[in-house]
Parts: sequence; C-alpha cells; structure tokens
Amino acid sequence: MIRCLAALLLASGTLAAQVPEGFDVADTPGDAGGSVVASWKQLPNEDASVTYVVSVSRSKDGPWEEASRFPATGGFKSDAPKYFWFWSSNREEHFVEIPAFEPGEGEKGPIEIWVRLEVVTPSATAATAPLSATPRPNWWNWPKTNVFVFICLFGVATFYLIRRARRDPNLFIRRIPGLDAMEEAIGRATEMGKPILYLNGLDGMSSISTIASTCILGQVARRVASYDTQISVPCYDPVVMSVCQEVMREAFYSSGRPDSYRPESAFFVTNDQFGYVAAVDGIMMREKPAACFYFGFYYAESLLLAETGGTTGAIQIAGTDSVTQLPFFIASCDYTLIGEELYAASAYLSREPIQLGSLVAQDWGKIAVLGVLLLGTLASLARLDFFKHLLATF
Amino acid sequence: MTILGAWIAVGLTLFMFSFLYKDNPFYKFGESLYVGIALGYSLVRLWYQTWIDKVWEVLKSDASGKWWVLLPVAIGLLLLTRFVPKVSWLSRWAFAFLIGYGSGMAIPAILTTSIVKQAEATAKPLVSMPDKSEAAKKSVDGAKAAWDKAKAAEPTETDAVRATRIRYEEARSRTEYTFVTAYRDLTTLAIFIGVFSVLFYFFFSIEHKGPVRIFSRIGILFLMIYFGASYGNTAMGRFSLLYGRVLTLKKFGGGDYYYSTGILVVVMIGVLTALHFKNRGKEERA
Repeated sequence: MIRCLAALLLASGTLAAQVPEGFDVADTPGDAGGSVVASWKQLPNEDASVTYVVSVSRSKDGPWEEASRFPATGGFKSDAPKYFWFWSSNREEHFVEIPAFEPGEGEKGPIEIWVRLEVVTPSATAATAPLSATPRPNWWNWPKTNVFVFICLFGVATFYLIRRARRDPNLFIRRIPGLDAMEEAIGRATEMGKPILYLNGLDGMSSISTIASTCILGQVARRVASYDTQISVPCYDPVVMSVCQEVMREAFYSSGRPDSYRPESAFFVTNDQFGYVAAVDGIMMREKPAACFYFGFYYAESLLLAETGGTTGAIQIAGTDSVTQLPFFIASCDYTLIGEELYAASAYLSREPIQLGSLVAQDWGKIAVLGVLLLGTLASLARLDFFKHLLATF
Repeated sequence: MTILGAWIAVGLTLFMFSFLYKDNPFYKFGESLYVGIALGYSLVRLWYQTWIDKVWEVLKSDASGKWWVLLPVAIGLLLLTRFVPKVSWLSRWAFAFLIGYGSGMAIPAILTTSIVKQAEATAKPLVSMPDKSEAAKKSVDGAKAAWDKAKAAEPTETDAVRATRIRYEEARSRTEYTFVTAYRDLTTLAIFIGVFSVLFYFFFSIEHKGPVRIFSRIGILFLMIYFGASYGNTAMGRFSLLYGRVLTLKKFGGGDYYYSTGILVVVMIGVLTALHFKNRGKEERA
C-alpha cells in the first residue's frame, strides 16, 4: 500500500524531485569566450511549482555559488535563437548562460567552470552530478553567417562587374543632376574669382560617408586644378584633414598642376561640433565662396552651415546618408544627393572601372534584396517561418 | 562669481546671436573663443583619455605583458611623418590602416543593420491571418475582462480605461479581422510599396523610364513625405532649444543679475551702430 502511494506521488511529480535528462555544460557557441551554457531536457510533468537552481564553482567539490534560479515555465532554448537557432526541439530544453569567471590574482584565464543543477519541488530537491566547461572564444560567429554569405555574394558580383567595366568602360549610369551641377559650380567660382568651400562632414575616416566624401573631393580637386581656381577644406578631424591633403595633392599632380597645390587648403579647425560650425560660418561670411559643397555625414550643424552658405549667395550642393539631416539640406541647398547617391558620386564623376563596377554591383545587390523581400513576404504569407529565420540577425 | 558667470553666459549668447545681423567683431570674438576653448579642451581630454589612460598607465602596470599597446602608437606616429617630406610617404601606411580598418568594421555592421535586419522586418504577410489558437483566445478574454473591470471602476473613459480598451482591441484584431487589423495591413502594404519604390529610385545602372520611372517617382514621393515629417519634427526640437536660451536671457536679465541682458544688448547695439557708420564708406567702396 505504502509502495503504491509512493509510486503515485513520484509519478505526479509534485512531491518528489527527479534529475532531468541530457544535462550538459558546453562553451557558448559562436561567442567571444565570455560564457558557458548549461542545458537539459524538460521534465515530463514540470510546471510552475518546479524550480531550477544552477550553481557554479571553480572546482568539482565546491564551494558552490548560485548563478541562476527560475521556475520550469521559463528559460527555454527557444528564447535564445542566437545560440540555438530556431529548431522546434528548443521548446523542450532548458538552458542557462553562465558568465566566465574573472581571473584572480596570479590566475590565468580562461577558467574552467563547474556547474551543478538542482531541481527543487515543494517537497524535495535533487541535484545532478557536476559537469564542467571552459569558455573559449570561437572562430566562427554562427548568427552572422547570413551576413557573411551576403558579403561573399556581393564581393563576387563586385569583382565580376569590375572586370566587365574594365572591358567596357561605357557602362550606363543614370543622370544625377546634383553632380552635373558641380561642374557648373566650379566654373562659376572660376569666373567670379572666388573660392570653393568643401566640407567633409563630422565623422572620422572610419565612416563610409567620409571615405565617399574624400573620393568626391579628389574629383573636385582635379577640376579645381585644371580651372586653376581656389578650394578651401576646413576639417573637423585631423586625420580627415591629412587624407584630404593627400587626395588633393594626388589630384593636382595628376592634373599636371603640382605648382598650384597648396597643402594649407585643407586645414583643421576644431573637433567640437558647434565650435566648428561657428568657425565655418565665419569663413563663409568673410570669404564669400562661390560654391559650397557639403559631402559626408552631418549632425545638428547641417542647417546652420547650409543656411549661412545660402545667405552668401553660393551655389550649394550637398550629399549625405544622414537621413535626419537630409531634409535640411534639401530645404536649403540647390542640389542634394540623397543617401546612396553620395556613394555613386565618385564613380559618376571619375568613370573609373573599379568604381563603376562597384556601383553596378550595388544595383545587383539591390535586386537581390528586392528578391529576398518578395520571397520573404510570400513565405510569411504562407506561414513558412524558415525563410524569415534565414534573415534573422542578433 | 555667479553674477560674473551670468554676465559671461549672456554676453557670449548675444555675441553668437549677433551673427544674425552680420559678421561683426562680437561674433568674431565669440567664434575665436569657442574654437580655442574647444580645441584646448579636446587636446587635454585626448592627452589624458588616450595617452595617459590607454598607453602610459598600461605600460606602467605591465610593460612586458602589454607591449602591444605600442603598435597603435607606432601607427599613430607614422601620421607625424607628414612633417618630414622625405619620409612623408610613411603616413600613407597609417591612412591605409585607418581606412581598411574603418571599412572592415563598417561594412558588416551596415549590412547587418541596414540590409539584413531591415529585410527581416519588412518581410511580413501583407494580409493578416486570424490567429485561432487557444492562447490568442485566452489573451482576448483576459484583455476584455481587464477592460470591463476598468470601465466598472471609472464611468468616464480616462487614460487608464482607454489603455485597457486599446489592449483589448489590439488582442481582438489578432483573432478576427477588425478595423485595427485592416489598418495594420494597410501600414504593412505602405511599407512594402515604399521599400520597393525607394529601392527603384536608387538604381543607377538602369535608365529611369517606363515602369522603372513610375516606381522611382513613387519612391521619391515616399522619401519627400518622410523628409517633410522629419524636418517638422527637428525644427520643433530646435525651437525648444531657442526657448531655453531665451528663458536664460530673461532670467539673467533680472535685477538679481544687475540687468545683464538689457545692458549688454544696449551696449552691443551702440557699438554695432557706431561701427556701421564708421565702416559705411569703406563697405560702399568695397
């Protein structure tokens, strides 16, 4: 009779605690070595009355320190697709991420982490045998695989199209009115005998928009050199200033006018946002440039610069991928290159095969994105989540 | 000291505002002071936060173990070779490193945030399918009960009651096709058309004529609607900054601060008027 009662109680799972199956401790997949993961299968009849307690230690024999405690209704692998992807079996397994131990005095990392799992029910507690794992940085970040695949495909397309552009440099590029107007603006500055003001934005050399801006500066400087006019490039960042000097020197030399090159044309002002604005506004009012070019990434200063430039009567052409500042440039400049037109500008002006090939590759990339969007929308309409999971980023 | 600070704050604010009249000595003074202070401050900050914290202190604590901090220092020093024409070509190594590192860091990040993440968020069903699961039904019942309870407690629709009603309607729209569902579907459709047409606008290697032209026109329409909304939003933010400044001028213009705003405005107007008459002849000749 007593045995039967005990068996019944055990089966109900309310009083007795049992150790879950498949308890495992492993290095966190795809991370930089900052943690390990303990996982186990859910108990057959687990409910909110069952609590999991995960304890950690630096050695198998303890002392143990509680790392996590949660009811059995939570902590499923399906909550962390970053580590375990979207497999349906993830809803049947629990997990805990355990941060790596900081190395102590004289200790060298990474340190092995011992983990013990306890199952606590209202009436009893059961513990697993401790297991260990060592947190290590992984070479491959699995959650970023989709980005890697996209980069590879885009890279292959770019190389192919550069080869094609070398064979046939007359690839079609649609008209960009703002860039056609640059020629006119430089010509106007030459006729008026006034300088051109060229700004690179407020980002450093690690920003794609600044890199695009310096490429455009190279093309502008070529025309400036051939028209023998003046250009002024006040810089917010000293490194950008040095790059601008190099780019301009190269442009003047390749235009056969090394004597006209003045390194002081590109100069550092300050790397305080509104200090820079105050200085550039002052330069605009004093030098009264015939043309102002704003290319690169801008912040709150965009309207202050473009409005002041507008009051001097200069032709103003802007190009930025800063979506919050584009409205101000559109409102206050004669021509504005919107977003990606900034990246296209250098290829448009120079028609160099490498840049042309990259530009056409960008279009291919956009076609691919359109295809993915169309397929993704159709797949989600058909409730096929797998396609959406392929696009997941973490 | 507080009064002196107030006079300086008011003076510098008015100096910068004087630019609205034209470039003048007050503005030039404010500009030079601003640029000088900003430059000096950033130089000191760079010295302590970069050189002292990231190089000097690191080497002092463990020179043999952390010698590698000297590598970025060496790359940075290459930039200074620009001052020596014979070896100035070495600075290009530093630029190559900076641009390579910048592109390597930026391209995957941009691809993740601007392409893959956006594509994931955009790929949604254009027509919502009613969720017939038990969990969804329970959620509707729970939201309805909460709304009924809130209504019983408050006879008029307060913000709290409205919040419970919105939650109920939101939950109901997932299980049956309601006005909210239709609105959500329309939004999804607008996003879908917007993304497609804007992408068409940014095609450079295809001539914009025929259907491509129509699509790209729709795209530029979407962009302009966004830019208009963004302009209005930011302009309102800028006005609030101006109000803040005007309130400061008003506060410091009181008797507690010896009428700093009023006195400085009068002095500045006087000086600018005098300068105007003094330079009138010169400006006309110029």
